[in-house]
Amino acid sequence: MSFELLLERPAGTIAPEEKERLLLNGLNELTAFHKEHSLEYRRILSAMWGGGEPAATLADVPYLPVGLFKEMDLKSVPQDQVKLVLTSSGTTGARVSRIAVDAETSARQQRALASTMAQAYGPKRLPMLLVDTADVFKRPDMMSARGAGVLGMMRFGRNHAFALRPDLTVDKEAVAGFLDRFGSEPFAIFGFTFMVWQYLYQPLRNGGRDLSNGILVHSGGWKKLAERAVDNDTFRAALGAAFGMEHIYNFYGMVEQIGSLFLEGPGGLLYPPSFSDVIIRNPTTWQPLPPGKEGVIQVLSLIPRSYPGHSLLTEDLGVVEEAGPTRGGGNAKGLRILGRVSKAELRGCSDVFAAANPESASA
Amino acid sequence: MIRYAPDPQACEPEDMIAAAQLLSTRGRAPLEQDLVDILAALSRRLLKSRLAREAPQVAAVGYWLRPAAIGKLVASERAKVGEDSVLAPRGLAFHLPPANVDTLFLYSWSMSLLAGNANIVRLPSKMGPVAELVVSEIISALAEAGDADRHLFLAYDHAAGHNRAFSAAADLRLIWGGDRKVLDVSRDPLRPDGLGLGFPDRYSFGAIKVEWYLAQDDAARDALATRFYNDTYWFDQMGCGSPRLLYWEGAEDGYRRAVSDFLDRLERVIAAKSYKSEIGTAMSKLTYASRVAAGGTIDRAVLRSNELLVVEGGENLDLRDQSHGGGVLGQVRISSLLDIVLGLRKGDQTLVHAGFTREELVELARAARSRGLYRLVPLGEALSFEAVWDGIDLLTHMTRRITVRV
Repeated sequence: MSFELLLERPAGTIAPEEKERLLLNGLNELTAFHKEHSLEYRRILSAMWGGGEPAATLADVPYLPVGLFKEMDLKSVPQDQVKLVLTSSGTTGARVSRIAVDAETSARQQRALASTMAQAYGPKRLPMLLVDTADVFKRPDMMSARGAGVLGMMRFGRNHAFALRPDLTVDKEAVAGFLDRFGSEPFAIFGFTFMVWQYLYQPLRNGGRDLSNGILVHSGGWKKLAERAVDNDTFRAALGAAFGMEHIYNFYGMVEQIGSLFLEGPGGLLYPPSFSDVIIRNPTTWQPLPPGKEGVIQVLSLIPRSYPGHSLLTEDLGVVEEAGPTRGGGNAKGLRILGRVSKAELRGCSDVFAAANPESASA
Repeated sequence: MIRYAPDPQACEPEDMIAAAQLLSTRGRAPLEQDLVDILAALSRRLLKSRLAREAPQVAAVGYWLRPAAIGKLVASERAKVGEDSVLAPRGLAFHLPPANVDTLFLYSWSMSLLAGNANIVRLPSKMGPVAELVVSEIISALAEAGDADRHLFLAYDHAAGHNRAFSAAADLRLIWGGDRKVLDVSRDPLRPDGLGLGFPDRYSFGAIKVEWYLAQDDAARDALATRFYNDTYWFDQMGCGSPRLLYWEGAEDGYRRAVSDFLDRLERVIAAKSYKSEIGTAMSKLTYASRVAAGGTIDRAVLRSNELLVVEGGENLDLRDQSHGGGVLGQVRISSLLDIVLGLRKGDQTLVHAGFTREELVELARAARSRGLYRLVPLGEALSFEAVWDGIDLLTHMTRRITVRV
C-alpha cells in the first residue's frame, strides 16, 4: 500500500510525479476510510466538500482546520481500539487538541519516526542525552506533546541520560557523566528548542564543555525565542561557539499530524518525508501557491488512520522553496516557517471573562 | 484607576469611591432644559468632529442626540407623568457598558443625564480611539455647562473589586455585556432600594419576503444589501442586534434565486466598504463551519470569502453558539413568518424585516409573546439604539416618581 511504498523510499529518491501519484492514492483512500468510519467527518465532507469524492490532485484533497481538534473529538475507530489520546501542549486554561491513536496509527508513526531520525542520527542507536527531565511523562495514557515527544525519541537512542532535574535546573553531574562515557564518539541529543536554549545552553555556555560529537535534533517553534531575538542562525552560531556543535537538526511537526516530521536539511529548509507533503495556500483565495509565495501551510500525511488528520490546514505561515535537484529527479521542496497566523478574536460583549482569562484578546 | 477629565489621568480609587458616596444626593430635576442643552451641545460637537466622518457610529450617536429627537423623548416622558406625580431622579447611576460596542455607553449615560442622575461610567480598560474621542467630547460639553463633577468616567480592571464599592453607593446600575458579565457584577449588591438592570446575551436575525425581493429593481436591491451590511458588519457582527441568520419566506426556486442574487450584492458592498476579515478570523470561521457541519444540523457551509461564511439549513438551524462574529450568516427558507415562533428563545432580541406588512409583523409579535423577541424593525435599523431597549423603557426606569395626593 501507498504508505509502505513511500516509506521505503527516502525523500529525494523518488520522482515527484510518482510521489504525487502514490500520495494521492493513499490520501484518497484515507478520505474514503474516514468518511466511512467517522460520522462527523462524513457530515463535514457532505456540507463543505461536495461529499468528498476522490481528488484529482493533491490540492483537491479536502482539508480540516487544525483548530477543529481542540473543539471536538474526531476518530474513525471504535473507542476500545483507541490505544492512547495525545494532547497538544497548551497554556493553562487554553483548549488543547485531542488525538485518538490506535495500534495501527501508532505503528506507522513509529516507523515513520525511525526513518526520519535515521537521517539525523544514522542507522545505529547512539547514546542519547535528553534535554528534559524524567518527570515529563508521568501518565502514559494521556500524554502531552512534550512527554510523548521525549518518550517517542528515546527509542532512537540508548544509555539515556536526562540533562535536567525536575525543577529544570541542569544536572551537571549527569551531563558530565554522560560526556565522560560517550562524548568522544557520535551521540544523540534531543530536546525542545526553548528547553535546549534556556536550560542547557544558558547555564553551561561558559563551562567549556565539548559537545562537538553531539547530533542535536530539536523542535518546538521559535515563538518563545523570538521574544529573545533568537532565530535559527543565532541558535546554531551560539551552540557552535559554546559547545563546538555542528550537527543540528530542527524539525517541524504537530501532534495533529503525528509522525510526520519535516527535518531540517540543506539551506536550513524543512523537508517533508516521502509519505507527507506540504501545500501553501493563499490566505485570501485559499488557492494553492507555487514555490516562493508565502501563505498558510497545509500538511498532508499517510499516517493518520484512527482519526481524520491526513489533510490539515495549520495555523502557520510559510513558504516552499526549491532547493536544487534530487537523486529522484526534480527539485527538492523545502519549507520555511515564517510565523503563526495571529489569533484574532473579535471583541465580545463581556470584558469580565477577558479579565479572568488574560489570553483572550478582548478588551 | 484612570479618570477621564477629559484626558486620561491616574487617580486614587479611594478618592473616586468617596466621591461616589456623595453623588447619590446630587441628582437633579429630570428633563430640565439645561440638561437638554448639554446633549444638544454634545450632538453638535460629535457631528462636527473628524471622527464623525470616519466612524459611522459616532455620526449615528450625534444624530440621535439632536435637539429635535431629544425634545420628543422629553415630551413623551412628561406625558406619562400623571397629575399626582412629581418626577424625580434616582440619584447616582452606575453604568457598565459592553466592551464591543464602543459608543453604547453614550446612549445609556445621556438618558441618565436627562433623567437628572449623577453618573459613574466604568469604561473598558482598553478603549479604542472612537470611544476616547466620544468621552473627551462629553466631558468638554459637561465642563462648559458646569456639570462635570457629577459625572465620573473611569477605567479600571473588573477584578480589582471596585465594582462592589460603586454598586453599594448606587441607586441604579445598568450592566451591559452578556450573561456572564451580568451574573458576575450582579453578585455585588446594590443598596436595598437600588434598581439593577441587566442586558445579557442576545441573538438577532432578519426576515425577507422572497416575492417582494424578486419584485425589487437593481437599485432597491443594492440599497437593501447596503442596509444589511450596516446591520451586520458594524461592530463586526458582535452587537446584540447584529443579525446572525436570514429567514426567507417563500417558495424554493424563488428562494434560491433571491438568496444568490442578494449574497452577490452583499459581497459587492463588503468589497466597496473595504471591510476585511483577518486571516485568523477567516480560519476560525472555517473551524466553526466544520464543527457545526459535524453536528449534523446544517445542509451546507460555504466560505464565500474571508468576510462571509454562509451556513444553510432548515427551520431548526440554530447558530446561537456562534460567538465570534465577523461575517457568519445563516440562511433558511420558511413557508410562513410564523414558522420561526417555535424556535424562539428568551434571549432573542431583534428581527430586521423587509417586504412584510405591519399586520404580518404584529401577528408574529403576538405569536411570539410568551417566547421571546423585543423588536421588529426595518432592515437597516438593527443597531439603532432605542429608548425602549430589550423591552425596558430606560428613561422611565432611570427616574422615579413622588406621588402627591391631597
